[in-house]
Amino acid sequence: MTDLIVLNPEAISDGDLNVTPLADRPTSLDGLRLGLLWNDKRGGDTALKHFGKLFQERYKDLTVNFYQGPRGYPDDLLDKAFEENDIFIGSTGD
Amino acid sequence: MVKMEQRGKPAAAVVSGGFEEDAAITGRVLGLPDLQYITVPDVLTGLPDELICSQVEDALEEANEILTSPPGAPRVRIGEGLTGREPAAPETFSGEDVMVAWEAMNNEWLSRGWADGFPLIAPTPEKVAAALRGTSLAPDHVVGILPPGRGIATVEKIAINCVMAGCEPAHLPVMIAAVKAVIAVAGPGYDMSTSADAPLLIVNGPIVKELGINSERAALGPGVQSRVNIVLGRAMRLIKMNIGFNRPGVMDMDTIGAPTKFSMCIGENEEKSPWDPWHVEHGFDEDKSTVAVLNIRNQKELADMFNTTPEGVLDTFAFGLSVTPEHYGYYGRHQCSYLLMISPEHASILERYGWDKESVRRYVWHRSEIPAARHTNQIELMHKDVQGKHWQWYLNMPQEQKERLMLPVVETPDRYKIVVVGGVTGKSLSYSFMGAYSTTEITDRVAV
Repeated sequence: MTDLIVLNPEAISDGDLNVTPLADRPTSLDGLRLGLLWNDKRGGDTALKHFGKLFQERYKDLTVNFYQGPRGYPDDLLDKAFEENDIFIGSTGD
Repeated sequence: MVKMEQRGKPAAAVVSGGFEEDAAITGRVLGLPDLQYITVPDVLTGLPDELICSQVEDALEEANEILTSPPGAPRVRIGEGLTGREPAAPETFSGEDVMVAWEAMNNEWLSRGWADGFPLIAPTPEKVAAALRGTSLAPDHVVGILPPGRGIATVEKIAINCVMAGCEPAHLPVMIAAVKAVIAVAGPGYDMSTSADAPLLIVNGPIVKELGINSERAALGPGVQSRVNIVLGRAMRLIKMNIGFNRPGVMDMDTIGAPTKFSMCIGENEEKSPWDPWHVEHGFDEDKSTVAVLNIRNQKELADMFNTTPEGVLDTFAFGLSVTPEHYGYYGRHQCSYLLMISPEHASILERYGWDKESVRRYVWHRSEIPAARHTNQIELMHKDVQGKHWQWYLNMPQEQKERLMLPVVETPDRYKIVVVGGVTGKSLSYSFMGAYSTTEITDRVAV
């Protein structure tokens, strides 16, 4: 038998070294503010707004705020949305 | 969504069917491996509104649970081995002889997503050590964090991938500079597009001749004359896959793919160029060596072996460029650029009449006008917020004016970039590309 020794070409992902746990979840969306973040891809706005409408029908006094990307969501948009909402749904990809 | 969770507020992403693993990996490489997502069955971009709403209604209970319940185990177990956790630990493959062991390595690494599909050169410790002698940088020197997978690009990891591609030690500094060039412009979602984007390396300066990079006939072709081009371009692909985790179906959501993704590298034919070469135009001294990385998309040959005037040749260019559908939809005209790879024969015609690069750009820009209605084939269908960004002026225009309006295919003349390359024939080539690019000096070389 012959051995061939080789070196691993894969990098370590920076994400694996800086892991954050999920935020605590509320038990209800009553009285909360739901931020909808749209990445500008066609159809995403329709889906998000429909989620907002359906959640408003389900929960009392739920406020819905809609934000438009672009993809990658610039920091100032994220800062504004973060301050104005308690919970988020966003669109990604196509 | 990741940033909101990291700042302490719950979030969920809407993800289309087939993109679940991509979303999960994206969460992981951004430091949120438990990213929560709501799955809708279809990609939304092609669906009518009523179908989108119906899919949302079906996903509502899942969305409610994600937002109001403590997170459970991830629904998609991210493949261990898809993103590396260990440094370059040696791995042993055994066989009756070294060829059998090498085939086992190739089969196993292909299955892990570490290969481009062609056989890999085995990155033995000896070959990697030899490659590292091509640079003065330490093996553990971190060149940067490579998107989209945020892989930590050490000199050693770059060297291992270079060996696998068939590079020689003297090639390593080129690829270190190429990685820097990508990192300089790459945002979080870099190169995850559903379009067939591919990295093209443009090498300039004395290193082109020193390394034997082909800048002449068939520079983008197969064979011995382009051997160095091929291995450099291939190294970029392997680096993107194994350091940037930019793998087909996972962080590379390309719809069909393209052969350009395997290897794309040229040297500029500076001797046959009547103009300042690419790197001088981008602010470097002529005696410096540089590499630029452009994410190219559509290819088009611009063939003209009949015209002998700049206007004649460039009218051919303009016609060809005006029928590439790159710029028809979405933001195309405002984001799309073109690389013009001008052949020495076409360049000599332009030189004969004293045309500089700026004249070429302006002429092609003016002459690539098309009816505005062709630009707006998809624009009329877009959401009003998107239309308003670039097209509201057009949508407000009276119909008879719209019908008469002609527009250049790209927004400004500087969207045309020029490089001279190839053999002496009246065949030039263009590639569209989206987004920014960087040109980086090749440094830290050691003669080997």
